[in-house]
Amino acid sequence: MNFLKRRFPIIIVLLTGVLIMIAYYVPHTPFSDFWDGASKWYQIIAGFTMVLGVVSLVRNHYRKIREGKQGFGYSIAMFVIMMATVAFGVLPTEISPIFGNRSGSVFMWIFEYINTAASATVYSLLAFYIASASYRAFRVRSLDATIMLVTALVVMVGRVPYGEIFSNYLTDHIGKGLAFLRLDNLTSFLLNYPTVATRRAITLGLGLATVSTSLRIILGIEKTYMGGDN
Amino acid sequence: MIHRKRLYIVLVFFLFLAISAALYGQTSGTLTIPTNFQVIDTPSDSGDSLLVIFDKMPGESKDKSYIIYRSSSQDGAFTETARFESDKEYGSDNAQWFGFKKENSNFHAYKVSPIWQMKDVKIRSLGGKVETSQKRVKPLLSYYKIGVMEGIHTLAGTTALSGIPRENWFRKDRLNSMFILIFLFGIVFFFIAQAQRNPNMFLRKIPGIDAVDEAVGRATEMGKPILYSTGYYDISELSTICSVSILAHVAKKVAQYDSRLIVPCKWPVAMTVCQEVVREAYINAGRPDAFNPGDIFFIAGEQFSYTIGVDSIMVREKPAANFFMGTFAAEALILAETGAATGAIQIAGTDSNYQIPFFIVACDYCLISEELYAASAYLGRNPQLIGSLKAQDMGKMILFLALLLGTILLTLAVFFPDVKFFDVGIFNLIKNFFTVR
Repeated sequence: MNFLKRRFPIIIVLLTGVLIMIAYYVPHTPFSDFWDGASKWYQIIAGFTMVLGVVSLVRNHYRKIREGKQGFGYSIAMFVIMMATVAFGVLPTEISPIFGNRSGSVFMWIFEYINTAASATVYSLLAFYIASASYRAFRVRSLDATIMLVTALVVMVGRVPYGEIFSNYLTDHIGKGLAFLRLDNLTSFLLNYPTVATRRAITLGLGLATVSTSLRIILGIEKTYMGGDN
Repeated sequence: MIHRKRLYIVLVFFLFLAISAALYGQTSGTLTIPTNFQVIDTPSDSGDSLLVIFDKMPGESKDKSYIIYRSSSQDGAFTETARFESDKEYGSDNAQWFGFKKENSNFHAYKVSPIWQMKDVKIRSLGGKVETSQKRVKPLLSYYKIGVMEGIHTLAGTTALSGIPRENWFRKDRLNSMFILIFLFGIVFFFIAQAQRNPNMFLRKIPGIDAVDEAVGRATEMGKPILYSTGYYDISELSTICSVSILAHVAKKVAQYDSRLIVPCKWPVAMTVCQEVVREAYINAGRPDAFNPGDIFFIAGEQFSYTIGVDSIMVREKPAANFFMGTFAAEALILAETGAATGAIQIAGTDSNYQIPFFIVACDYCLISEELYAASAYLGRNPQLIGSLKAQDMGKMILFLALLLGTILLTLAVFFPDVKFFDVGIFNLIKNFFTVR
C-alpha cells in the first residue's frame, strides 16, 4: 500500500521527467513524439476529471440549499442556469435550431449575452481596484514610497498628451538644454532601463528556480505535493 | 497628308515599344540569380525540413524578393513554395544553426518543407460519420530552384538541387544547455552532501514564509477560516505544484491549531490533489476526523467566474487569512483588493511578473517569483531541500558574474573598437554559451 501511495508515483514522475529531458535533446522518433503524446494523455485525463469538478460543484451548492445557508438563492440560480445550458447545448440541432452549440442557438446566446457580459463586468472592476491600490501604494510614508510616487507620476504624465505639451513648453520656451527633462524621454528611460533590468533579474532567478525545483521533483527530493512530510 | 499622319502614329508606336523594351531589358538586367545555392538537411531537427542557403546579393531591398520553387523531379514542373523580401532571412537570424559569427549576415538561410508521401487515415466521429484525412508517412526527395523578383519581373534560376531531410539523434544546438544542466545537477548534489554534513546551513530569511505561522495563529485566535488559492493554472504547471507543496505545510498548521481551511479550486485535477494533500496533513497531525473534503471544492474553470466565486467567499465567510500562491493573471488585484477590504492578513506568492506589483501593494507579504518555488524547501528544512536552494544561489552567482563580464567586455569594446577580442571574441562565446535554443 505504501509502495502504491508513495514510491510508485515517484517512480512515474522520475521516468516521465527523464523521458521528457531526453526528448528535449533527441529529436528522433520515438522521443520526438513523446511530448505530444504526453500532452494528449493529460488532456484526456483532465477531460475525465471534469466529472469530478461537476460532482464537487453540485455537492457544494446542494449542501448550501439544504442547510439554507446565506446566499442559497444564488445556488438555486446556479443549478437552473447550469441545467439549462447543458440541456440546450447537448440536444441535437436536428430537433430544432435553438439546440446545439452553433450560432443562433440558445447555448451560444447564453455564452455571448450572459457569460461574456458578466466576465467583462468583473474585468472592468479592475480599473476601480487599480485606483484604490494605487492610492494605497502612493501614500508618502517612506523614502521608497516617495521615489515610487515620483517615478509613477513621471511615467503617467509622460504617456498622456499633457505630458507632451509640458515637455514642448519646457524645450521651446524655457531652454533647449532642458531636453533631458522631457517627460517622454524620462518615461522611455524608466521603462527601457530600470524596469527591464529588474524584470530580467526576476526572470533569471525564476529560470534557475524552475530548473532547481524541477530537479527536486524529478529526483523525488521534493514530494510534499503528494501529501505528507518530505 | 493622311498617310504621313499614319506614318507618324506608327513611328511613335514603335518608338514607345523600343523604349519599353529597353527599360524592360534594363530592369531584368539588374536581376541576378544568387550564387552559392545549396540545399542542406536542417541540423538538429526531427527530419521535417530542409534549409535553402545562398549568398547575399548586392542591391537587396524590400522591393526585391527571393522565390523558392519546389518539384518532385528534376525535370518536373516547379511550383513556388516560399517567397520572402530580399533583405530578410539571413543566416544571422538563425543563431541556433550558424552561431553568432559576423559572416552569417552574408548569406540567406530559409527553412523549407519537403514533399511528403501521404496516406489516407479514416476517422470515425462520435456520430458514426467516417471522414478521411491525410497523414504524413515519410519525406520524399525534393528538388528546389531559386528565383528573384522585382515588381512584375521575375528571373528563375536553372540549377535544381535536391535534398531529403533526416531525423537527427541529438540537438547539437542544445549542447550548451545540456552542459549547464549537468553542471547544475553537480552543484545540487554537492550542496545536498554539504547540507547533510551541516544541517544548520544559513538560509536568507523570507518574511512572507515566516508569516505563515502568524497568519494561521491569527485565524485560530479569531475563530475564522483561512482561504487558500492555488492560482490560475492546473497542476501541470510548476507554480501550482509549488503552491500545493506550501498548502501541505499550511494544512499541517491548520490541523494542529484546529482551525478551518477553505480551498476553492479552478481545476478539478488541482482540486483532487489539494484534497489528498490536506487529508494527509490532517492524518499526520493525528486529527483525520477534523478533515472536511467539502472545504476543498471546484468553483469554475472560467477565469472571472472563479474570481467572483472566491471574492464572494471572502465577503461572506470573512477569512482571517488569505493565501494566494501560484500563477495569477488579471484576477490577482481583484482577489487581493477584496481580501484587503475584508481586513484579512494576506500572503501572496506568484511567478507572474506583471502581477507582483499588485500583490505587493494589496497584500501584507509577497513571495516574489523564485521565492514561491523556494518556499516549500524553506518550510521543510530538510537538508536535501536546503542543499538544492544553496545550489540555486550558486547558479545565480555564476549568472551574475557572466552578466558582469559581458557588460565589461561590451563597454570596453566601445572604447577600444579596434580590439576584436572585446567585441566578437570572448563576448560572443559567453553569449553563445548562455543562449538557450
